[in-house]
Amino acid sequence: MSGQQRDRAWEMFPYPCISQFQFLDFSLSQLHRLYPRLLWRLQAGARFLDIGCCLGHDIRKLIFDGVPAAQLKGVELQQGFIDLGFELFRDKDRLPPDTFLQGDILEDGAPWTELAGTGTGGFDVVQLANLLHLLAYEEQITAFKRAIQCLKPGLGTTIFGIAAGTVGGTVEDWAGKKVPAHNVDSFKKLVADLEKRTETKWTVEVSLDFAMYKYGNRRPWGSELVRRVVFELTRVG
Amino acid sequence: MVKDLTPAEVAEHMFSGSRDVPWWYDEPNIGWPGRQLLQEYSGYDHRTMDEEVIALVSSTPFYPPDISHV
Repeated sequence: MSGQQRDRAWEMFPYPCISQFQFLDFSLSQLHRLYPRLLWRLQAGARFLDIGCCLGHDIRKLIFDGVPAAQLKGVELQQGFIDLGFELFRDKDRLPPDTFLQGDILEDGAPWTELAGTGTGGFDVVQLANLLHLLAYEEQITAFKRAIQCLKPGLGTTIFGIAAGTVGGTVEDWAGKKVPAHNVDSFKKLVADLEKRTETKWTVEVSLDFAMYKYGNRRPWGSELVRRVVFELTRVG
Repeated sequence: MVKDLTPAEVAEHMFSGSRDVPWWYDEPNIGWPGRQLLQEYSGYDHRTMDEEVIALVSSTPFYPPDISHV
């Protein structure tokens, strides 16, 4: 790859989570309240979909912790991330070939039709990690609708994830968009809007922590008001 | 800036497990979960893993980590 190609490619993927090697953090497994419950659920046979799976590192961690790969699937916008994940984790010959699928959460069609809960797919748990802070408000609604579409019908299914937010729940100019950077109140309003639009009901657990705050004021894109939003929705209606 | 670090310097920070970490590296325990999985799941040799992983990632379009415009 030439330097020019590399520069263009980098412009397409300006994600700090990549440049900072955050994929070796396995952030899902560090959600200490959630991960043991998730692991227990998956080890009992539940199916897990990671939308915006990046290099597929959380899925590898789940497999490493004993979850059968057949119950896990990841969707990633950038095919290059999927390819790099296979190269990094050296497991292309060990995983089902359709473990990772390329797809755009904002576009209908493949792979969403085959992943829909009304089809042969259908998942018990969907993760939206480090995704919301790349999306404008209506796109965030679309992302949650997509997650709901991929869940099995019925109650008790779960959508969870993390995102960058702010103390004030402000709208930030991130990734070239007006992005709602949620706090607890604004996130709950988003879910209330989602419930109206989808005629569903969810319990909402959401909190802010300092995982994205440390050194935040020294990051070009950060500030002292940036926090990590951790959310978990469970369908109750 | 991070982009001024060499791959070897990045590797030193990423895998040292040190709590004396640069500003962009804000998970002090990042070293162990990554190391454990890369060794036991992916089969990396612990003696060459740092160099191999950094060389792989630094050869992709996702590196160097110039995040100044994000």
